[in-house]
Amino acid sequence: MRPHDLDRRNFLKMSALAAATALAHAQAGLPDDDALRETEPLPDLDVTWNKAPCRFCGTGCHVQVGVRDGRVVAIAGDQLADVNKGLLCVKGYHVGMILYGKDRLKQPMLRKRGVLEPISWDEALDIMAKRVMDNPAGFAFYGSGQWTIPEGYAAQKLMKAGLSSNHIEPNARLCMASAVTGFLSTYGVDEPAGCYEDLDECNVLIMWGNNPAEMHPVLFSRVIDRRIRGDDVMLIDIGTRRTRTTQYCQHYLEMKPHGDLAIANGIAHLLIKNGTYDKDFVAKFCNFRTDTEPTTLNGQAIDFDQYKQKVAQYTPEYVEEVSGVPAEKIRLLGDLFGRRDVRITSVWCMGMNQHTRGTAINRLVHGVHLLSGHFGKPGDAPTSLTGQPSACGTAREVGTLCHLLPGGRLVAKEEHRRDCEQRWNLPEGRIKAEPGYHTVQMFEKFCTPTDEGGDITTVFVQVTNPGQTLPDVHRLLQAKEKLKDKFLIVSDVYPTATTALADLVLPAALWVEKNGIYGNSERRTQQWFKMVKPPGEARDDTWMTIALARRLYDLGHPGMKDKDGKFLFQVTNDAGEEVPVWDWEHYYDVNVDRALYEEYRPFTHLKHKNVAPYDELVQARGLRWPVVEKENGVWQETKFRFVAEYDPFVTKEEGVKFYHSVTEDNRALIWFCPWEPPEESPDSEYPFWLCTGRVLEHWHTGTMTMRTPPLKRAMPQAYVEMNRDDARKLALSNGEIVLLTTRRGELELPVWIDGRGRPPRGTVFVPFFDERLLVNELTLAAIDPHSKQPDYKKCAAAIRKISHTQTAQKT
Amino acid sequence: MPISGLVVTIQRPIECGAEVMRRVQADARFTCGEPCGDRLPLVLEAEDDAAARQAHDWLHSLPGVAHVDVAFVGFLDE
Repeated sequence: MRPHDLDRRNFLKMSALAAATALAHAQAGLPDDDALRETEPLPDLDVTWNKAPCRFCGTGCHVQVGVRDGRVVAIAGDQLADVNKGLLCVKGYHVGMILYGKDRLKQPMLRKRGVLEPISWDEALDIMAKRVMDNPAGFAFYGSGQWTIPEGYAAQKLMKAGLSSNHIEPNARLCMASAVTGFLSTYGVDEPAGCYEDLDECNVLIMWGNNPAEMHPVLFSRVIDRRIRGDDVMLIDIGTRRTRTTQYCQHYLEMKPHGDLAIANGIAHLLIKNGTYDKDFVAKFCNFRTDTEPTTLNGQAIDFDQYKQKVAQYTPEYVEEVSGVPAEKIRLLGDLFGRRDVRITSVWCMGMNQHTRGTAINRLVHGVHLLSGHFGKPGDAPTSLTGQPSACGTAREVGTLCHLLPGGRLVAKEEHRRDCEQRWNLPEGRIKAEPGYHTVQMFEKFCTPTDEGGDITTVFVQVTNPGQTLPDVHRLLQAKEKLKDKFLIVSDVYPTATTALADLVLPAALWVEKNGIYGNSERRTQQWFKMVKPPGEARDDTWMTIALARRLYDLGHPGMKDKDGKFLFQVTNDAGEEVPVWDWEHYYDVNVDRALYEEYRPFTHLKHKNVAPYDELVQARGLRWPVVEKENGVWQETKFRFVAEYDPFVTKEEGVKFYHSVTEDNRALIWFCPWEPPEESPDSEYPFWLCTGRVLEHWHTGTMTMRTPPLKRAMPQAYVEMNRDDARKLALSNGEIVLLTTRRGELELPVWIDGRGRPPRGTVFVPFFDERLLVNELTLAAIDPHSKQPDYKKCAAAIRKISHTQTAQKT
Repeated sequence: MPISGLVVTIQRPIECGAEVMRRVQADARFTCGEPCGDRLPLVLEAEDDAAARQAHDWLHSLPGVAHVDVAFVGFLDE
């Protein structure tokens, strides 16, 4: 062993012990954690430690990143972070490895005669600019909830302010759009009222189609840790298959797909029938609405008696018939919500969002909490979780969806457009009033021949992998290959299912190779600084957007100038001089993230989502908006919204105030939405339900985690999870290969019987992380009518045994 | 060679932690820190990821262990 290795080994051991000791003290609840943290810093030894939010899910854990000789060498949970209190999940503590996969993209590449060949950045930008100039209306931008806030803001400004086009979407459309429409139609404003501290305070935690033991393990461990300490917390899992979460729950309510709508209505029925709903809360703070036919986002006003009548049919027995959940379990839920002596938190994620009735079920779960008064106290909250690190911060708050403008404004609202034009110093009328194409539409148009109405001809994809995540991906992206006039530009860090289809590939900087700001699931805005250099010619996504805008400016595109003829992305230094940030050599002469974020920050005030100043974020492990400056100059975050004790915009006299109420009377809406069957159900030809999702070890499409050796070894490939009885009936044993077929495609997969998840008879599950086994070639592109979010959780499938071989493959 | 910082949570009553402590201290793969209530911080050095996982599983399987959390992972070049 070389001396250098020994030093490094000793350093790592010391660091490991320091981190473990600090975590042990924090977990043991020593009285003065902060003092402890100050006395036990991580060892130095030429290593620079800095904070960053984890790159993976929406939890927003903070890590300490150890950098030595320009390379990330260690990761520790951040003791100062309220979100994770020093803990990390298996993905989080390997997050540093995502930078060092052997096949990082390092230079721009253009597809020539079917092969990607290296080109210069100048050439790449020229090609992109020409595509836009030739057909600005045919250009679409597709990003993600992994976009940092400045990346999303820059893309948003390029499209809506520069190109007068609303054809911009984040992949968050595929993961949380139904949560957005649920919040909007209930409270008039998006995003949760509660925060993760609800998990520390609740007596009952209900997980609606949610598997946090695998998908949000650090949050789940907060609750499990309470149990270890002796707290009495009841966990209830409402789902379509047993998961790792189920193992920890006192109650498992196995429902048929879409059964959640009936269950929620059944709870509401029992609250009214038993007279246990919170009459005072409802009288003071709620109105009632019902879905209409055809359905609309704001529905139709009804009164309490009409509501009562509508939910009356959802007796426990009827709910059992529709949902498959025994009537006694529905009564259990009804009784729990009827109690005033317990605090109930509901959490959900993709199970309720990736749902053709996603908006409806989101509304109903909010409604159950409002009707029962289990709202507005720590531990009493309906809270949606997000799957991506900045689905909230970038997709929802910056508003990178096709119908939004920054800060919750709508493109369709004239006053919002005028406001944005004023703030961006644009001529009146620059921003288009008609919403752009939502994600499924955008890719349908891209994959439709131009002369047949396919008016999207160029798509620029940043920070996401639609070649693996779009539903019915044969039709929505792979079909593009036959259309020679269509052009796909992809910025990414590794080769992916999307770069495999791309005409132009751009190498991107990843995570701590650039500055960044994320916004997590609990309204917490989190900032980090660049710590290491990106490899080769990989560059920041924000820079790519600004550099493209500058090329367009140089080519004379009028949209790239404001009313005074200044470049749309003008950034100045402390002396007030313009810095040519479109030139990579000068991009880091100033902090572009800070400039863009501070330009964006005032937009957040309209909806009382005041994000903290950048310099405050630098000092903090994230701050939960609204963040307001107190008289003493301290910037104070908000744990719970709409409640006087916590929310700075609610007075003590008001108590609870839904200040963006749909009905403009400071009241939230309790909705009635009927149960409806799924879009596609099993039949004699396709007798199984197919559900898709994630696994603990891999994050989304696995582009990062499949390049992290310990994670790849732990879960090397996708599989189809089956019920033992179903497998027996088909004469299948573990590891055998089956052909999984839907009306959209087929896939060979190995069988896993009674593995990690245990589906009931008639249901199979396939994770989507494996790019060699694209399950989204099989999924359904049916969408929720309001959120336009596809349903990846249920479609009809058939299974046929094909061989005993162990190597699965795409057919 | 992976090095991890772990925290073992001892089941209550924590008296059963003495046996856990004895077995961990006797195992060359682990370096123990100072116990803190029902939590035992330690460092795991393993030959490779598979060995690290095996050691982690072994810890978890010890009678009296409620939980094993990971606080730190250092990576020598993979």
